[in-house]
Amino acid sequence: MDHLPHQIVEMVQLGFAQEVLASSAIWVCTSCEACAARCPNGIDVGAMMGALRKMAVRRRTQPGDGNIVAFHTSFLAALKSRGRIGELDLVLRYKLRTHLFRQDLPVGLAMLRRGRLPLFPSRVRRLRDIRRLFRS
Amino acid sequence: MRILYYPGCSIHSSARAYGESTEVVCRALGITFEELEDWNCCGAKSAQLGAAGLFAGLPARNLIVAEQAGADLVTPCPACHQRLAATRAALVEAPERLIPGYRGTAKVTHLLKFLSDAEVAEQLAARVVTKLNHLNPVCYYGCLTVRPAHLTGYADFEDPHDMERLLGAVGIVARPWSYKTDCCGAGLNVPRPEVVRELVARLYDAALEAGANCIVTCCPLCQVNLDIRQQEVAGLTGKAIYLPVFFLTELLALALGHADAPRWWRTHLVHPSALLGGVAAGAGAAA
Repeated sequence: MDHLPHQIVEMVQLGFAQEVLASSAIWVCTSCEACAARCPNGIDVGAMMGALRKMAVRRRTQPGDGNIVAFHTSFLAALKSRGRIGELDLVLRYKLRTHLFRQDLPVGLAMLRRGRLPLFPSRVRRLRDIRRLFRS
Repeated sequence: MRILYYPGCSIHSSARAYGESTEVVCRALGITFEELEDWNCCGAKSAQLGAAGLFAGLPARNLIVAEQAGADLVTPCPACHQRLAATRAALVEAPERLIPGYRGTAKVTHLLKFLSDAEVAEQLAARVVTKLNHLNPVCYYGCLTVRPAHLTGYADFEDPHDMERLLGAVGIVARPWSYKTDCCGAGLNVPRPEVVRELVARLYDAALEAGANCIVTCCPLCQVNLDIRQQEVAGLTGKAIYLPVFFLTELLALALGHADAPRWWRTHLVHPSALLGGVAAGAGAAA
C-alpha cells in the first residue's frame, strides 16, 4: 500500500486528487470494513475508497495497480456473459487480459482436479435482465 | 416457514463442499431451503465500477424476486449478504421510490446468523453421533461476516462467538484467539496473491500459537485463500504448517454422522484425513 488509509483521507481533504486517484492504495484495499468499524471520527473510509475507485475509472486515470483493475474488468465481463461468475471463466479472462498464463498454474490445476472449477457453470436464464443493467 | 436460499456464485464451484454440507445440516434440522428463482450474481465489489445502475441493480433483481415470493433470504456468502442487505437498506431508506412498489419486506440473513439461534444449537446437540473432540479449531469469521455491524447485526464484531457456540453444541471446543476477523486478502487472491500469502501467513502463525490443529470458517473466499495458499506459505517460510480449513457446516454434518463427508475432503487442498483419522470415512454414523 503506497499510502495508508488515514493518509488517503488526509490527501483527499487537502485536495491531492491526482495522487489519490493514481495510488495503488485505493485498489489494494480489500473492503474489509475494519477502518469504518474502528474510526473514532466515524469516517466511512471503506465507502470513500469505493467512491475513489469509481472516480479513478470514470476519469480513466492510469491505475495504481493494473492487475487489480484487470481483475475487476474480467469479473464484469464474466458476469455480463452468464449473469453469474464462472470462476474458471473469470480466471481465464484475467489471464488473457494480463498474459500471466503461468501464474498459479499448480494451484489452479489442483483445484480443477478436485472439482472446484467446473467447466460448464450455470447461468441466469433471463440474461436480458442482466444485459439491461449493464446498459443502465 | 419458507426460506429462500441465495447460494452465490462460488457455492456450485470452489465452495461446493460448503453448499453440499449446508444442505445436509439443514435437512437434518428439518429446515428446507428453496433456491431463489433464477438468482444472479450480487456483483460483489467489481459492480461498483461498471454502469451506473449495476451496483444496486444486480442485488435488487434478487431482492425483488424474494419480495414477490413473500419470503426472507438466507445466504452462506458474507459478501453476497453485504451487497443484498446494503442494497435493501439503501432502497428502503431512499427519499424517492427508486423501484416502484418495492417495500423491502424480504429480509436478508447470513447463514451463520440464521443457524445461531438457540433452538438450532439444541437440536444439533441432540443429534450428535460422531465424537470430534480431538479437533481444536480456531474460528475464523473473516471481515464481512461481522462487519459492518449495522448490516450484520453483530454487536460483538471484534470478538464474535457464534461459530464457537455451534461447534460447542456438537462437542468441539474452539481455541480462543485474536485474529477472528482479520482479513485474508479476499479478492486479491488472483491479482495480488503475494498479499494473500502474507495475510494468511499471519493467520496460520496465530492459529498455531493458539494451539489449534485446524481452522473453521463460514466464508467461501476465506476458505479458498486459507486452503490453497497454505502449502505455498509453508514452503516459503520453511515452517511445517498443517491446518485443514473446514467450512463450519462440514464439521456440523460430520458430527451429525453424515456418511458421505469424504466427498468434501477430496475438494480440500490441505487434506483433512490425517487430522480426522478414522472419522474421515464418516465412521460412527448410526442414523
